[in-house]
Amino acid sequence: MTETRFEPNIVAFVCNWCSYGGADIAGSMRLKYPSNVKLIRVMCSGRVDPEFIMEAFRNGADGVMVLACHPKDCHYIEGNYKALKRYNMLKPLLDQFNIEQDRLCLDWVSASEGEKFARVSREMNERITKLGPLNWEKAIGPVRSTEVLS
Amino acid sequence: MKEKERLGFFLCECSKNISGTVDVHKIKDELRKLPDVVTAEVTNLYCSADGKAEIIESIKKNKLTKIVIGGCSVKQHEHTFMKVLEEAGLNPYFMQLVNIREHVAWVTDDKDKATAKASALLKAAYHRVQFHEAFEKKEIDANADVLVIGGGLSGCEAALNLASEERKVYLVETHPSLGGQATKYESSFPSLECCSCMILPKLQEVVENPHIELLTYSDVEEVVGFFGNFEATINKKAKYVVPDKCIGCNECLAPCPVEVPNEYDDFLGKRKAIHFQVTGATPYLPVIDKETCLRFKGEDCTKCRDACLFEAINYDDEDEKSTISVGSVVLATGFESFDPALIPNMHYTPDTDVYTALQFERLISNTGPTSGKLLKRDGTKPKSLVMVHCVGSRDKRYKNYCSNICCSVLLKMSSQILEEKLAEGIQITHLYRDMTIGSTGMENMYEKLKQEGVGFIRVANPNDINFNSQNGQIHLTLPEKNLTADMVVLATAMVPNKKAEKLIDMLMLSKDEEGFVMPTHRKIDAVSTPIEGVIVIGSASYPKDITHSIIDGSAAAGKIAFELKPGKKLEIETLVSFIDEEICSGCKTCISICPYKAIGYDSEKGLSVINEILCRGCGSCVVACPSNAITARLFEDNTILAELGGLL
Repeated sequence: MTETRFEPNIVAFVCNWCSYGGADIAGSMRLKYPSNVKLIRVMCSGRVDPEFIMEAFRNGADGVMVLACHPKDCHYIEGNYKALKRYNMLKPLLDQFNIEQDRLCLDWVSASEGEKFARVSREMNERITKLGPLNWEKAIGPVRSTEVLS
Repeated sequence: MKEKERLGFFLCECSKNISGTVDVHKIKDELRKLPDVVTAEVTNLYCSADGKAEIIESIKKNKLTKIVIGGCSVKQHEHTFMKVLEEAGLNPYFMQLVNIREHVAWVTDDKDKATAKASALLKAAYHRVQFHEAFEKKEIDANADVLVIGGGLSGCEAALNLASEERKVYLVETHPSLGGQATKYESSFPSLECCSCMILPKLQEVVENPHIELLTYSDVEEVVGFFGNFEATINKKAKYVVPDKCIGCNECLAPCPVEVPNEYDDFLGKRKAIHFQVTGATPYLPVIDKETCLRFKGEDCTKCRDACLFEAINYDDEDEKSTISVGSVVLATGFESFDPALIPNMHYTPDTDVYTALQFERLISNTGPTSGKLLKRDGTKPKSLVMVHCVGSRDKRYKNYCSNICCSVLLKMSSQILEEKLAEGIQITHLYRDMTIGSTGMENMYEKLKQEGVGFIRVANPNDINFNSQNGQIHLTLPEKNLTADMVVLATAMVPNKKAEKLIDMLMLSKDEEGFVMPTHRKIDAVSTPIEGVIVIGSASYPKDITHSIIDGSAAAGKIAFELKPGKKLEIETLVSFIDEEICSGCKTCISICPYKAIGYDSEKGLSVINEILCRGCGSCVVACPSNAITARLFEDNTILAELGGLL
């Protein structure tokens, strides 16, 4: 019997102005990256609530990326710095939830960096594939996502 | 109860661009099975005229309430499809465009995987779009008048370009006359064209323009409000001279018994208590300086009034405050000179023959303290002159930037001395680090000076110089060189005008690490600021020459003319955030988060309030609010979480 290879579920929160555009350029350049990296567009990385990240893990994401404008390039001046602060706050807390820190990543992808977008996505996929699936129930215990959604 | 949604999916093949990799027909069949989905359709190109018509027809026929389009990037066609919805009679925000081309078809080899990913993204949008609310475009009344703060060349240019029948410009200048620093220069680089001849006609145009209200010798004390609706309080300082009566005959100056250092000559010469800013100033009107006039120290001096043939002196004049309403504010507060006394090893003292470049401009100007004669403090002609570049510049200990124009200024001064024969036989030597001369014509000037025997000595860092003044000579010591000169000129860094700091804070503008005002973007939006309706021009945002200051003035006028049209309302951003009054606890956390100062505090209600005109909808405050009182339109928590839930 052949073992099916684990394919992680990865959510990427991308800002409207830089990283969404970077993903567009990756497309225009026909750069391939794993199809399990799926995008959610927000206007600014500063809109990404740490709760969204936890909610992604809770709903079955094995990895979460927050992709933002480069330092000094934020369309909203400093939203990416706010994203960085929140990331720095959340990341060490993940250990306490039995979630490996590597399952969360923050990176800067400009609207021209198709290459970087594809690379960051591939690297994330490799990291998460090595870590294996995140078992939320085992890590945290049973909590229903509907509690937050309702 | 909320009516049931009637949802429609439109999957674009984009020729083979999408359908070559994504099995859109298979997805279509899956989507049709979802609750409340009335239709799921596939066509070749939804962005084509036929494709758009198909969507409109389907919306009408199927009475769709919201739609999801699977196609290309929102950057390419979100607006196209928003218009389609409007044409079909739906609110343009009742739509989600899912990018299954750039983000799926073009980046995935495996067809099954691509189809699965596209399906997941479309299902996420299915969940998301059900939370979409209707938003209407909003317009506010706006005042098209403009306040320009600073009557230097960039401020004057902005005022001249903007003032018209329909648009009044208030031009406020703290000094008695217009023109700023440029009025100090005898000549300009690279052509050595007479500076006054060049700029005075422009300044006169400002004075004569009936649509510019010129407020000289005035200060802006307060600015409140927002784009389209600012209110400014202006203090017109008492001049004690009646503008309508004074003809500028100068008769009042000589009798004045007071003599003080002249700030307009950078304290080189002296001026009276009643004085003009410079000879030939525009407007040409003297003022009495209250700080130094004997009358205001309790003495009964009337010498200037006695000398006036036109009864133009009025000792009872008073400061006058007024409030004006404008739609936009232009900050043009300029620069000042770095103080070389801040470099300890230099031992610079202002009473020797070591001058800053701005002082030297006055020394070789016909309207300066020596009437343009190049003389040492002891009245003799200098035989040697050393010009030091980069003083206080490009050095982490002082100012870590290049002021762009100082090299050109020193070359210009050297050329002026030689061409006008201000000191025959003088040996001029430049101590420089790098010769930074960008504009056309400067290279020729530099070459010519070398041919004419001007010395150029390259040194590691001119800030390491030490001056020692003895017997009327200046000894310069540098690690690599010792020199002696009769006179020294220091090209000091151009630094932000300290007097503007209060204004910058009042307008809530940010400064860079050197204190210059930060525009929205240094390259692609260099005169706008993050505070909508506030524009920054000239050397207030970084050191500029006359050319670039004037270009800035025109740029500001262009921006304002485009955005603030007389008689027209102002369309404001639809997708902003708002605070639920019922939930807000008034903790003010959001106020400190907002980069646009769009959130204020209503002290009566004890709540934070978002100004929709200033908010740009980034959503940072939504995350920061500890009470979940803030909602970002179209990116509400529920909407994003619904999309996330559908995606996974």
